[in-house]
Amino acid sequence: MAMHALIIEDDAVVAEHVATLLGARDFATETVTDGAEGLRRAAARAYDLVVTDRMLPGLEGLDVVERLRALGVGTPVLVVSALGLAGDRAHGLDRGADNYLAKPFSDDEFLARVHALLRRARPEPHPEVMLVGDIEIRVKARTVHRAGRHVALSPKEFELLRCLAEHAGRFVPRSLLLERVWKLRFDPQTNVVDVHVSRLRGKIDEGFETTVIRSARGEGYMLAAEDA
Amino acid sequence: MTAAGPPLPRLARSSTLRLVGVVAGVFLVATLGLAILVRQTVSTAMERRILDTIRTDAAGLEEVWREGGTPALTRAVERRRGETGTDGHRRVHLVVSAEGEKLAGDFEAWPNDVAPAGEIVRFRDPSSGLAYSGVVRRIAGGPDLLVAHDRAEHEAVMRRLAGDLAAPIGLALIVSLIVAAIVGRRLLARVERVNATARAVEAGDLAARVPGGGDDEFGRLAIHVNAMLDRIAILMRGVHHLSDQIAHETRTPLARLRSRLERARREAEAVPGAGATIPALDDAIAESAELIAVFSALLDIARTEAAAGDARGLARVDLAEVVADVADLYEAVAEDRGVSLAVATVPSVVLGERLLLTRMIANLVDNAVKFSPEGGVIDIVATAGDGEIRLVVRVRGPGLPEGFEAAAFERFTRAEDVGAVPGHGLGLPLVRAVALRHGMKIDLERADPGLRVVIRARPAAA
Repeated sequence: MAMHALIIEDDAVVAEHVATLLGARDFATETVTDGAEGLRRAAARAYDLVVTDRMLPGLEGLDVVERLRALGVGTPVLVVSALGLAGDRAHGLDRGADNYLAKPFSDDEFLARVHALLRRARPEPHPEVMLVGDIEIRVKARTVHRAGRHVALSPKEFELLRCLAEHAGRFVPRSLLLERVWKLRFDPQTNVVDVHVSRLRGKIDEGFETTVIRSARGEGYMLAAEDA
Repeated sequence: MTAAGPPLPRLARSSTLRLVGVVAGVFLVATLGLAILVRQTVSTAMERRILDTIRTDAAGLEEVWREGGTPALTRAVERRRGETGTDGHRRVHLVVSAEGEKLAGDFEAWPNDVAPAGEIVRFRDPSSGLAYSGVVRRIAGGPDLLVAHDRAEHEAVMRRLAGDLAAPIGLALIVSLIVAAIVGRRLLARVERVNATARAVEAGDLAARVPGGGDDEFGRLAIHVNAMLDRIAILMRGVHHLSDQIAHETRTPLARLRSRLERARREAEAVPGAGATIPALDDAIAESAELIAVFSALLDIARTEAAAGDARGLARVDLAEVVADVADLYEAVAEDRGVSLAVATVPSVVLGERLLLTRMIANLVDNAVKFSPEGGVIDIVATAGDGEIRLVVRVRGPGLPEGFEAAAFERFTRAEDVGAVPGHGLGLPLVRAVALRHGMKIDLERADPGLRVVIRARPAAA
């Protein structure tokens, strides 16, 4: 069944780009350019996802989100804005947005965030045991086994692996890893994430010939869903 | 001794004290001048009155000589011996012959220090020690006549006058000192209000204004300073607005550029059989990402600076926790480079934006890791005391070139010998912007070998 997404964006090029990206993920999309119109539509029917800009004619993007929440509409909202300072993001999340992405963004980053939003919105409880290929992650016990062999990980390495596993088979940008594992919303100059991932990779791959964590275009990582 | 000398104690540097000193000095000089003038006037007037009497007396005696000759004169003088004048003063006379022989009078001989030719004279009688003033009259063809008046009364009056003047002058001096101190303090309190406002603005509180007003010089100073601060606030809002505008207007085209490049890459990869990546496209995407990163960092700095002094959105943040988070993030990188992080903190709660403070400390540690020699130790120390929180990041690296400390906080400034280390020279400017936004003071200090970054913050009220 196709999912429905509402795009509220007054820049035609960005709107079309977002529509293309979502279309490739089996979304049927509708685009409006006015904030007030966006609020009316989002309140009128149940979309699976709303993507909104902030500086909009009619009504500001965050006002749209806030009023939606006040109306009891829980549709996941991804705010996409040129106002990308840490404070702006925190402000956006405070006012009811589920995720906040600063323009300009990469395709992979956008898709990773959409995926994270949909995953969180899904009604079924998060599984206690996650299985990705030959990797078994027990969330409560915080243990990891690969092909039955126990892999000892530090708490942050465990969080890294868990985040990659939640998006198994998909690209996870560094910014999302920083946000999920370290609660950071900025990109450190030094490749701190790469070093942590390479340590995780070393532990997971030790004694195996295939590597399960792949670098994706130098901007992020992917946990292979199946054995390569 | 250095030219500057030891600093003056605070009291001596106080303008109030200087003002009081100047007032006291001027008052004292003016009053003393006035007292001297009064004394002189009174003295002259008294003397003139005495001399007038004496002159009349002498003229009378000369008349006696003209009518009765020397015997009549000596008789008249002998008669008057021991007499007191109409003004109650003892009067003395002496008549000597042209040859200098005493003919009659109160003295045995012509006083040594009185020239026989003088008209108005002052002298002291050696036998009694009394001071006199008088007139000398040389009667043509007759004896010399000296008529004098003792000055005891005159001098007593002068002493009494000095005593009478001293009390009111002293009282007036004390009153004027007190008034000067009160007026000085009141005036300076108004200047101090302007100073306090300037300090608050310096510390980042752009909303601070000078209280009060009025139509005098201080009132106008307050009005002008406030108008200046309003103007700065308007300019700051303008910068803020402009940066938002730039963010929106420029990042959108950048976003389009990037999405078109990515679409091109997707389409190239989708060509059946090709399956190969185009390195130029990957490079172009990487370059655009770099451009966007530099641009975002610039905007972040500008907007953080513009938010300086804005207390909204500030919450209690323990810098020790932030340091722990950052150390956790950088531990692995540091270890890979053979550098160790030595963290020593005490709970250091400030009012701030946690994300910004995390970014500030991360930037400092990031720099330290980049510039630390292999095997080096980076100290990250937070201490609290004396109403101040000190956060110190010390790296034992090559340090900064001479005189680079001030420039290090400017955008795009990098020392010349760091070519191999990646970066755009925007790390420290952001650190400073965050410090400024939180009213913190930041300093770079040499720590041979290496460098110490010291951040001083006010602790949050418990």
